[in-house]
Amino acid sequence: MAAAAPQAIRSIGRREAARLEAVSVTLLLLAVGFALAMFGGLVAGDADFFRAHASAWVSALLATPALSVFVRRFGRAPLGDWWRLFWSAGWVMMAVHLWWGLGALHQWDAASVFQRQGFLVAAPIFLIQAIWPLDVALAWTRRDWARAAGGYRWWQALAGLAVFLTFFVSLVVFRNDLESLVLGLVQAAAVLLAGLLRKLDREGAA
Amino acid sequence: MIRKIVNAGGIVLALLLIAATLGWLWLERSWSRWDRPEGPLAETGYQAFTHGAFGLEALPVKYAAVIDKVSAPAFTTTLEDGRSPWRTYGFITDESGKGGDSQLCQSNAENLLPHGFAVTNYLPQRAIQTPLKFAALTCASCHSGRLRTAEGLSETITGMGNPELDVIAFGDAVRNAVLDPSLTAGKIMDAYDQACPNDRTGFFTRQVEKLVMSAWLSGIRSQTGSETGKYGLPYHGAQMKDAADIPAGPGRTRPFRSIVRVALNLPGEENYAYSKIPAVFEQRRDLRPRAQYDGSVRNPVTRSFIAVYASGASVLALSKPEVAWDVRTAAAYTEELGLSIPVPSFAETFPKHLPDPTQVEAGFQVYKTWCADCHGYRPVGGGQWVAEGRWIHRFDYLDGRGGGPKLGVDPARVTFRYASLLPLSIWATLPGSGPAVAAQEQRLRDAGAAAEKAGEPALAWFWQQQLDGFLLAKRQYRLGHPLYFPACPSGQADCDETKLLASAPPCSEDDPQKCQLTDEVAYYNNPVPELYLRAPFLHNGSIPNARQLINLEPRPERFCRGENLYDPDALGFVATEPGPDGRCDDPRVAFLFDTTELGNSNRGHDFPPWDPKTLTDEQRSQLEALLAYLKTL
Repeated sequence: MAAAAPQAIRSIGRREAARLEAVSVTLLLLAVGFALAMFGGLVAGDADFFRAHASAWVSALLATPALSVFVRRFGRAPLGDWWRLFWSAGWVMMAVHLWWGLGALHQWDAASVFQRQGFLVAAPIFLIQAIWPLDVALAWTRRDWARAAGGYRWWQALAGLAVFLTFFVSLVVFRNDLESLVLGLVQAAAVLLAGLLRKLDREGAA
Repeated sequence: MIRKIVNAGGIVLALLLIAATLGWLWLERSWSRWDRPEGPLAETGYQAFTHGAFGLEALPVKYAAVIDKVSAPAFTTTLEDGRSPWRTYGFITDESGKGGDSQLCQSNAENLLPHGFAVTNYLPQRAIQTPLKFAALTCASCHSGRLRTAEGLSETITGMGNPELDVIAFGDAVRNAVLDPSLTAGKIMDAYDQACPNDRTGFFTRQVEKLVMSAWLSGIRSQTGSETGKYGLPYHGAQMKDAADIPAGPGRTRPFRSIVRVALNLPGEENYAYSKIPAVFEQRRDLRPRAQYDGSVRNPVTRSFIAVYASGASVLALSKPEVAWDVRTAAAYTEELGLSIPVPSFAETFPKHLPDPTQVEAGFQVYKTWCADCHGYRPVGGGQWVAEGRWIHRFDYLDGRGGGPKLGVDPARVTFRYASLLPLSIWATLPGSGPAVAAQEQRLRDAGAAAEKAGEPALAWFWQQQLDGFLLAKRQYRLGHPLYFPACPSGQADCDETKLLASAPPCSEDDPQKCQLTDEVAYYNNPVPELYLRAPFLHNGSIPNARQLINLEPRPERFCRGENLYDPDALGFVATEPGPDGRCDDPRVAFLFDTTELGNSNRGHDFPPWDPKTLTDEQRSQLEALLAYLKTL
């Protein structure tokens, strides 16, 4: 019993170190992505246009690990710190995208987004601007965020699906440029791979 | 422990990077802060016209202050004759001696840069604002001038074309300078620090300035270098004033060569559509329903947009609220300049050369016989221009279609290659909103399909390129470009933009008068207020003064241009004769204007159609009277 205490302390220490590592890596990726998206605008033809697009690309990149973890673990294993941190970082960049896309390009005229992009693209974008931050907020406030149950579980699944589909439609279906298409395909491939691994996990367990 | 430190370090680094990025964005907002000026049009319009931002940033101010030190070979023409580089290119500099000895520095740039230069924070083309100040051209750089007489220089007159400005040569000098492989931001900053030791900035600002200048230099060098296939290598030294190399010369531009290059991305070297820098007085729509010598533009704002776009302003820069406001306000200013905004009259400028009132009266009758049908008139004694006449506000077709008077002037301005591609291309340069954007896309597609159907695959490819560019621009300007046309005036709720689209190119209207942009092979008859400030005459500036224009004297075949003296009695410039060797040896009037060259013809516009060599006394008397009346316009 006396020997178990230091072991538990060591275990907590390891968990804290792992958490710190997750925070450090995610925050660094977020910072680098944010800086590249913003400073890249200085060398691009149109700073606002570039920033609006690049922030969406970085959001998609940051959301990809979270979506992959989610697909592989949801309902099976705790989602974990990596999911929560990447999921949150992805949303932060989506908020940055909203600032440049809606604020700079559309001068906060939401109706014009529907007018120019069509309902099929505009509606999901606005929808995830509501769903995603709510899901992130729940992930940081609910105790059962890692192993959701009941209605919250359905909510998490819906939020994950909504974000993935929005990225897929925007980046792949309505590909505006090569960068978007590549990023969309990479994200879709990562999610697909996670799904395959999940299937293999189940078959292995059986 | 090490892992912990590394991770903690990573977090600190990330937070610092985020803070730095946010800090930059905050600074960007402070650099780009702009409050719309308020006040009467005469005041705000003048400010916009002479000090506004138009996306025509030429050089960083710190570089402009030391061009003679770090880029002397690029800017020197060898014809300075003691003049500053600015003055050699014809810019209006302070020659009063008040500030003549002062070194241009960033702190005094607004006063010491030549007239018509603004100081802005915009990075050229990209229109990002940074702490680095740029010297930028405005409307007034080209459309302000002074008259140089034996007695001295007149005050600067806003609205007249600058007859001495060699803007194409200046452009070549800038291209030459930035292509210099040995030119670096460090070299410029060091030279500037030596020239302006009291003009130091803080460490952070200096580092940012150096970084931005470095980025500007690298960007403009790369762009200029990549465009040599289209523009050729720039001329230098004495070539700058040699008509064989730069055939436009002082007081003229090649606007259609420029617009063909920027709007169509096609070469314009074989374009001989020379144009004198025009006067921009009394441009109000009822007096001048169509702008340009060829009447190709209907709206003054569109005219101003095309002018700055052809001069090098990017579509992006023109979308910035400040720039778009300046374009609109400067255009409105030209509509009122000479009407509610006063312009010095001939009598005010030359009180010792007042015409005889009896002659003016007689001259008015001659004018009514020979000129008023096309130009309208101003009543003797003054008052507003009367835009009435049989042929005023009409296209005068080169082929005689429409039955107007045979002008017979140089046709190169309206017959150049690619002219027919311009209206639709220019219109689609600025994506509209609502029905306009759909119409623009459809008409570009239709043009491509029509070219295909007509068996012109290369032309179909051209329209495909235009369409691709348009689709990208459409995504950039989601709400429509602020200068797109035709657009309903703000606040006019009952205006239907769909109806306006009938006037957009290619016009569905049968009457080209209603069309926003045209490519008629014609010149357009407009009023000619402030005529004494319109010399040299004809659209290509091939006739130095009005005596020659009305055939009271023979028109010179060859003459030298530059700092020509103004002769109030002849109502125009003294045509300096070339030397016996046929060259213009005076470095101050070094450009040889040869009217036998393509695009330079001084023929035509013979009203009245009398030969100056065989004038009767009666004819001479009538023409002297006409000249007297012209001085009152």
